[in-house]
Amino acid sequence: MKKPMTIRRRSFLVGAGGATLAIPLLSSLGQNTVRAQERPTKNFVSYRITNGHFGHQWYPANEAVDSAGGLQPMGEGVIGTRLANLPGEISPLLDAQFDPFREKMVLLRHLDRLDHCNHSSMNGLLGYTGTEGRLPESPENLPPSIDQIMAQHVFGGEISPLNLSVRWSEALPSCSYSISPEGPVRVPGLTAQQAYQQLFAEFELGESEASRRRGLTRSVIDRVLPHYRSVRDNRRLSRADRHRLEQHIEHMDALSRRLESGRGECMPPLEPETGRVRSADVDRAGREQVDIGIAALRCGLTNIVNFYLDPDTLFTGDLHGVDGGHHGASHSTSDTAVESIFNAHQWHMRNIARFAAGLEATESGDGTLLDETMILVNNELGSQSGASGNQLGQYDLNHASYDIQTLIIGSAGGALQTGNFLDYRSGHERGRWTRHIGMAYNQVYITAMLAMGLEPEHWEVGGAQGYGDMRGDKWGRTPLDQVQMGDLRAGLPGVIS
Amino acid sequence: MSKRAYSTLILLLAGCQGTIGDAPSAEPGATPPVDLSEECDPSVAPDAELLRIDRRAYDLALRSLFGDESVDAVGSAVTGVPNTQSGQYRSEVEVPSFDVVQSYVDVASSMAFYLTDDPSRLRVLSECLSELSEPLNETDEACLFGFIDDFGLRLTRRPLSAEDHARFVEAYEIGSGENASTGVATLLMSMLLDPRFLYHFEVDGEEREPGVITLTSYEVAARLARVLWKSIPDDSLLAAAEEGFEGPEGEARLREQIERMWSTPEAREGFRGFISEWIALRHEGPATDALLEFATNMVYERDGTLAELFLDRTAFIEDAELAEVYGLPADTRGEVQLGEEHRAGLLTRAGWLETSAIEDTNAGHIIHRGKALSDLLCVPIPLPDDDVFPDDDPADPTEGLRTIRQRFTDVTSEQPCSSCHVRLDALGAPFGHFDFDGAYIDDERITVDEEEHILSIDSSSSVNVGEGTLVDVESAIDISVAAAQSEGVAACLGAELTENMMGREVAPSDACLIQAAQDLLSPSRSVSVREALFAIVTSPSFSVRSIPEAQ
Repeated sequence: MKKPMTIRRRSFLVGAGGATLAIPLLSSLGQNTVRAQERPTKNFVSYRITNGHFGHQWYPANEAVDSAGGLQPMGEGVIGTRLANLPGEISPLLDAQFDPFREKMVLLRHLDRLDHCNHSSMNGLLGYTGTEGRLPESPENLPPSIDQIMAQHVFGGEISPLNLSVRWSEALPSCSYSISPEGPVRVPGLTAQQAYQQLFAEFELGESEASRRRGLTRSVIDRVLPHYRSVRDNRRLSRADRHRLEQHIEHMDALSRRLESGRGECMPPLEPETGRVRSADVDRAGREQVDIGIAALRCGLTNIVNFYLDPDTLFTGDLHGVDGGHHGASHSTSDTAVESIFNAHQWHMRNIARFAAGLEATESGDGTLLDETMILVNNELGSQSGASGNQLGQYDLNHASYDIQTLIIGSAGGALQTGNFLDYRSGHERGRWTRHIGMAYNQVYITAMLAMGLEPEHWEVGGAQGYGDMRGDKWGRTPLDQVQMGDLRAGLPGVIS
Repeated sequence: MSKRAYSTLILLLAGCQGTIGDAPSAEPGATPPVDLSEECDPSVAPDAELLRIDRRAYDLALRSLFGDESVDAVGSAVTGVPNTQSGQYRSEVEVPSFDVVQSYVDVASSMAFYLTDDPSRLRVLSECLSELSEPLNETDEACLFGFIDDFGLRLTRRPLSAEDHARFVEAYEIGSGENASTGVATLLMSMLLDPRFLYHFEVDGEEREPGVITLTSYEVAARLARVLWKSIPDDSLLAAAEEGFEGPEGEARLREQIERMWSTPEAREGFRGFISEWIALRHEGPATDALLEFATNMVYERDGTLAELFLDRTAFIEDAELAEVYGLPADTRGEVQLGEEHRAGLLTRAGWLETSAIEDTNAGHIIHRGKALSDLLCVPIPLPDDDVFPDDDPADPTEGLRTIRQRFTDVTSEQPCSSCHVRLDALGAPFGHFDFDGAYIDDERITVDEEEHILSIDSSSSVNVGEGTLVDVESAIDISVAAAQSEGVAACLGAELTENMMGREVAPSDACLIQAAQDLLSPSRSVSVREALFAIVTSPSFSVRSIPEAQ
């Protein structure tokens, strides 16, 4: 397995002369910036969340869906609506910070994992767990996790997934699994400091800092410009006065564009803080990993990034509004616990939005880096909001993997249809937990691999269709004949273009 | 050549718009000065343009806000903002170029990061600001919000509105996602790029009658700071503005502030800058410095009159060569009195008399001096078209032994040159006894074929010294005396002061402001220049402006 490569400074440079920090800061704005490395055109990113979710925090309220015209057929076995039609925020967790991405994301509901219910990093990117005793007799023939398949067959083994972790313990997990004679072997995650050392250690910090400062300056200009337009329109100003301000605005706008052209340039992030992450560091640690992920994609150091950020007990009530740790809260139905879960998810949402915004801000081809990417937000467990999935007071903590939290942002270069909220309920119901039986979650993996340009031959084993073991029926609550399996070579209906 | 606004006004009103070659519209030297006193209509409010902060004001404002050390650290960025030097106060109304705007952004960015890179630098602004940490607790918020309001008031020259406050809090939040220090950086950047900092907005006052706005006390304070300091108001002035300048108490408060401001080094430096632009000094060096010091000292320390500017012989010598120019021992230093025989006021100072040297002669350039004097006295003479200049240097003594004045006359005595040169040369000729350095010379010495010849100088002339009539003079001192007694020169300086204060060309709507100064500068009143300046800034017209017609 190749490690993520270490890149030398010259590989990052932004053209002759570079862009060095100096006073005045903008003196080098005239330099054109180019990405040094040609990056393959698609990226896959997994952002894993742990401990399940509450559907009433995650999904649009029924009233909002109704006001948008209700769920309408969006393909075979799927109903849905346009995210743009939903009034207000999409949901308490998918708040205004996701509004810029409504047209570029897909929110999926009623996707059920069939083989396993409980905590496991294998629930992330691996389509089987083996905990139900259903692994084949020759586990060495099993496919690795989908990120590994992509690395091998989409990128010819030239890149390795970048596994970024934040966790309360020193053992840093990831959802990336390779295969050994004994079966799947987890690839360790990297702290921000480790990732930075591997990727960016030889980069000259001055240029990184200059890039950061230009980005901040551009952000400030963009924030100031509306105020200029407002004062320009003051009726007590003369035409000549307005003309002066208009010219000022045009020049500032031009400056902003120049700065923006450098915003998505290949630059390393700030060097992470050293030492073990403590409670007070959790926000920073998350941002550091997100920024490393952004920089790694911008610089073409990898095309696959896996986030496994799980502070758990590093979350505190005072600092993060999470009492008893994330996992601890997931085993309680108290109001405090529900609020804690919400706050823990908000922390993740900030990271996800920051990451998406970083890619969206990076021009690439005719669009942005986000357009070329598929960000898969996933969870090891399903919804814990009771039978309806939308009602407070009906929590049914089970750690079941039904109705798994699933969000896709980006279209992997147009391979995915975006802009929709899709519901895969089958028409069958369970006796408890999430009432509607949905579609097999493994279709998400198939969809991701298809979107990245893979063919079924890359993941199928022994001629059997599908990716992984989908025969499990934990606790006998999901009769397999009532699950939507879908076309195991076509991916999720309504998602694949 | 600099074109003064008042000169233009006189030209337009007098119909003297000829170019070289045109027949003069009046007898040479008879261009009448405009008596704007008849046009002063108190119901007419001056036009006010949106002025942009120029380099000098920008630099001073930054120094008052951040201290010298910080401004010096980002100094190279500040120099990108254009100065008013030789721009006749106009850079404040020029449409900003890309480079200017980039300079503002440069400074804002550089200053913000310079200050936040080191907490000790930030403490200059606020002790608690350097100790903020995210997430902000109540103490932190009180510090941040207090800073925004206090610093925002200084920068924008008015109390922040709720919207202003919220906008600056949002600016903090741009960077606070990284940490509090970065939040402060983006906040400072935003404040330094705020239009209310970079432009002098005067739009908040009440419309006392249709089309006329009474400036708010804060806007009056900002005008004062711009005019007297070329900077922004300090805390004391803002505090006075908060109490208001209305009514007898307010007027007394205003006067008190004006006198306080006038007593500061910033005001002295500001007035020195005005003098430099008014006289349109063309050279740098000890002679220019000495002239500026003379004029500034006369007005600032000695509360001198306009007449004294043209007649006083006090000089400040700090250079051996300059001492020798004045016929003093080379080791002369400090305050001296120049000889009354040849020196009187600023027109006989080396700093004003200096011209480029002319080959093979010790004479000065009488045409250059004539042009400078016509501008200084608001007796304008239009520039000729470029294509009428002779190919050969008129000063080249190729034919006969002739003085500089004779040589120029030979070339300019016929049309298309004569119509204007007859006036230019008349103004420059009385200075013929000063060489190109400004030293007094009894004779003109010319070298031809390595042989030196001595020629007598004719400095007699008939000139218009702002009165609209010709005055016979024999020397530069005669011109100085005439200028000191001229109502036209008083009006000219009044217009210059007004132009400086309004930051634009004077217009008919400024008549009351000009008159306020002119009345006091008049030889019949002989009130100090300082009082004339005070008369302008305390004039009712100073605190009103017109609303431009609906666009």
